[in-house]
Amino acid sequence: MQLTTVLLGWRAYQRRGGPKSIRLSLRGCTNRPFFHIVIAPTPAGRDKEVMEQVGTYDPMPNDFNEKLVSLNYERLKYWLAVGATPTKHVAQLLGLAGFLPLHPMSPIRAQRNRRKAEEAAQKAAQEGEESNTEGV
Amino acid sequence: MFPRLQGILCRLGPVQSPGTPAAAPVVLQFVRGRKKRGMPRAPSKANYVRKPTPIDPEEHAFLNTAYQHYKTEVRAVKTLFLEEYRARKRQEEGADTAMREQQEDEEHFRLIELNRAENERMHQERLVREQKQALERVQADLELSIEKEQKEQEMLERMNELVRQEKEASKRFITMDNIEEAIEAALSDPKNYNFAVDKNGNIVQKTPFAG
Repeated sequence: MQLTTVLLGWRAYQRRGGPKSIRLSLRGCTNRPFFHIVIAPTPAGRDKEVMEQVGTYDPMPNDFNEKLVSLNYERLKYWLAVGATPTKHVAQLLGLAGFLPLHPMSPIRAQRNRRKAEEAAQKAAQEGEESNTEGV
Repeated sequence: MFPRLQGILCRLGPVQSPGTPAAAPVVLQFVRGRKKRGMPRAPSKANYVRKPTPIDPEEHAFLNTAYQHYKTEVRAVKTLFLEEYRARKRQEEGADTAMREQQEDEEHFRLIELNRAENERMHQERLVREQKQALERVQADLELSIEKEQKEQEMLERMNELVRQEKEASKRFITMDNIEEAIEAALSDPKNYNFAVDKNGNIVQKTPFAG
């Protein structure tokens, strides 16, 4: 079970007026990361002083090679209207979900991953050939 | 200049550094700490120049325009959300105000009525109670006055009794008139107190009267 710090008294009053972020807060345990998509005051620590949870993101792919994301669109609308800023990663997730426009980094990342995969495949093929020739 | 010594008193795990004997109770570690901000760069790093992060020119060009478009679109989306929220708020408030006022009025009058009824009931109870208390008070006063009179009467009687006793006793007083007779009577009637009394009350006279 994760413990959260509760905003009480003067601290809560101070945090009320400040800038807010929509960002990932790391939960889960050792060797098993899990993120909550969360509204929090920007200067607070990653896992501290959460105002509201607005979704989840599981970075470990499941049996069907999917990374699952859940989002509360109603509350997200409210917080974006009030002026909360999503971080780069969250913005990319929202773009892929279709809630916000597609983030410019998404196609760039996809391209980079594709290039890396191709290079890895080529390298593996070359090594395979070399080992075959060595055997012969 | 001199490295700080930090001692660890308790060693629970196995020995990490090869030089320390297994049975040592304290393990000393030389701790350098953080450099002071006024101190100069180390000589090995004095001429160090950082290589800037490699930027792919195609990606960079693409991202420049893409980010501008993206920001514009996101700004528009946020404004849309804000407008929706404001419209919803306005609608909710408009519909609710009249209904809410009516409900509040009803509640108010109902409570006022309740309060009035309660006050009336308590007032009646109080009247009854106060009448009863007044009667009781009158009764108590009466009883007290009766007792007081009785006490006064008793006091008077006791005083009268005392006076009467004194008057009776004064008849046997020895005054200057009676003194001669009293002396003669006393002398002529000797009393002998030299007797003993046993358990049954019998007087035993053994010693005779002397003089």
